[in-house]
Amino acid sequence: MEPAPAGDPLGAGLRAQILFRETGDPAYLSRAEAALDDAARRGVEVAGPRAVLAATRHRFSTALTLARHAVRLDPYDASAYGALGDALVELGRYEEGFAAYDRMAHLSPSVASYARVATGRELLGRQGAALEALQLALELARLTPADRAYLWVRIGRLHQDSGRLSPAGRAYRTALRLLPGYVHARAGLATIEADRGRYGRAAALLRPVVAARATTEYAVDLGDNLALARRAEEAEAAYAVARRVERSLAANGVRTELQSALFDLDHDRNLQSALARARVGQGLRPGIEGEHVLAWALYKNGRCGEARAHSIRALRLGTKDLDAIYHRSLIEACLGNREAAKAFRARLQRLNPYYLAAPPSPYRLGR
Amino acid sequence: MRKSWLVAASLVVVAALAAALTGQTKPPAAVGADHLDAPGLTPPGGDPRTDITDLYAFRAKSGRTVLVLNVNGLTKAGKQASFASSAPSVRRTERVVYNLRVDNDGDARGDVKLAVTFGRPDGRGVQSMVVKRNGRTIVRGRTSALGDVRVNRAGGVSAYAGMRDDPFFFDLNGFVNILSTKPGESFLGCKKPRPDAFKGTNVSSIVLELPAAMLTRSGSSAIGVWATTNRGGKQIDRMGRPAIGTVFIPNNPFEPKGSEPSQKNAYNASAPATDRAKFRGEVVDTLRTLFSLNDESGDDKADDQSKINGLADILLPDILTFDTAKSEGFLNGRRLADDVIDAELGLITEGAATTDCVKRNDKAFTAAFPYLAAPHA
Repeated sequence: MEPAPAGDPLGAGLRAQILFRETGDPAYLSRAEAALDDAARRGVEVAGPRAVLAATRHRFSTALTLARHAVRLDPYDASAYGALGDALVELGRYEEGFAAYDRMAHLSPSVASYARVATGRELLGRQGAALEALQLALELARLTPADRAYLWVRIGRLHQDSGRLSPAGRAYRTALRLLPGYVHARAGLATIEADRGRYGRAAALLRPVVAARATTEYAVDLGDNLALARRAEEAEAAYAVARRVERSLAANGVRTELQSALFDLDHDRNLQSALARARVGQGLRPGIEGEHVLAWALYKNGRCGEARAHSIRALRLGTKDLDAIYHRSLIEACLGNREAAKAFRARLQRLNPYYLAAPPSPYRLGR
Repeated sequence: MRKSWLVAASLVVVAALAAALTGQTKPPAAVGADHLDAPGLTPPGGDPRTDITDLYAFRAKSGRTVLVLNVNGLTKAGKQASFASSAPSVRRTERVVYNLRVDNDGDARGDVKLAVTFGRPDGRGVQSMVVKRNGRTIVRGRTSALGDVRVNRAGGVSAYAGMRDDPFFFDLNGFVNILSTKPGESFLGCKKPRPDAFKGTNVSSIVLELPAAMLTRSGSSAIGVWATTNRGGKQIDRMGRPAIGTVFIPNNPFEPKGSEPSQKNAYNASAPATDRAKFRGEVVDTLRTLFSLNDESGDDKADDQSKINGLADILLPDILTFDTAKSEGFLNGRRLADDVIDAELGLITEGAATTDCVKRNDKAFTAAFPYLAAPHA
């Protein structure tokens, strides 16, 4: 990190958070915290940036309290409503969260607010409407290539999730033209290769991505593609990178229970302890993602009835979450509901014909 | 693809942080005829595209009426800003509409509504546009690319939309510091030319020229005009006469920030018909301050209150009154070259201040449609 300008600890705190996003290095989170503490000691108001930091660490209840405080301090501060909405959404309080996003977009039509509106629309399963919001955001980002690149990656993911691989590829390449080397766009192109069943090629494209930005998501993606390409040893090395990053995240204040549980469940490891972590994670993140991972954990531990109840909650918004829908089909099959299982698989096939070619682990404990 | 929205959500935060760091969410503090007139000197609705900077109404040589609505104040030279097409919230997308409202029977309520809407900008920033009169389409066309003039004509109506030089001229800093006693900060008592804060900047302009009969009722050539921007059913900004909201509605330079709650959003969202009921008290308060400026120079204070009351009833409702049969300017409508600030200063300060010492625009206006000078390239 560049040295903090003397006398601007708030700026240093914000910069450290941006650097975390840009580099994936969890150490920046602790530096951000220290800088914001310093700013607070000097009487600078830091509720908003602290709310964002808490959310980054998946401490959403803390984030909610801080964001509420920031909104009270300045009811016209759009970014405070963004932090408020993010916390509410992760806590599963969707209607309140969407209202905060709407308020943010009304106060300040911007890439940040329209992107959140798009997220809300995606959560509601309205992919076309989400695409529209991202296109309206592009109008606001006419002169900022980095913002445009980010939006094109979001557009690419929407297309890719819906199985439209060619438009997705075009979107990622547009992002790369706007921001050469942009890792999220490169990762997008790699996952398209994976969707097409070219796992070796996907892994080759992901390797430099992970070298540039060792996030758990990309390291796990790399490992999965290597495993599918029958390169088990290299896959394990990639998973080791993911675990190392996860430990570093935890050491810098991030609650990683849900992610680590999901990794183990997807890879048929440590299933009992994964269930325990999923329960903790779901408590911290009681939105649909927490419900989904807990449902998956219960299923993997052979408790399909309980799993179904949580799966219903995970899909309650109508989100086109491919993993959650896939897991639901397994849960229904486990309960002997063959018709329901078939219906969920058919739905998955309609949403994205590439998904079932290489889904996350289908195995259950004891099989 | 897996968990795309999870990763996406974390990416969104970057944009918010970057905005906080660069101060993107808080535009440079400035006020103009109506520029940046929401609380904290931000654009109403947080969007320069729907922040009305100025409204003009004048008679063209042809006898037709010209109406001008400007947004995107303080756009830098060479930059192509766009008009808003629509605005999304999580559950719906709302159209953004640029309205020119006309009262033709003197009741401060709209009788004719000219509504302008835009499509998405193409690669050059050009947008489709539609002009409706009371819900019926009267012109369809396209906006102009930077520096081009594309005139859309239909049924005796001409319509232009695109970048133009900001025709407004004003010593903004001298106004913000109007009560300052430091030499040279306020324009009060100025003798030499002072800087035009809008020199070299562009606006996005909507210019309509149409037969007066499309606006008036039979038997009268008099109308009152105000402009609004709307998002769905919600009014974001409005403007009638220049600088009324800026000068009179709290907070203003006479009522420092925090001295009372801002009423600018309430003002921007309300209609002229309720102006006297809602805002007359504020106008009277500010006029009292302004009328006291000449007390030390021996003004007879006895008649101040009655003058203030009379003036408040002229200033509100905030409508630009215009006799479409007459060519003279402000207070009859507003021509591009009218020095509206000088005209208003004399009125509202009881002659204590007569000029901001900015006499004309930085660019000459053109004789032909769309009349506003070409944008700074």
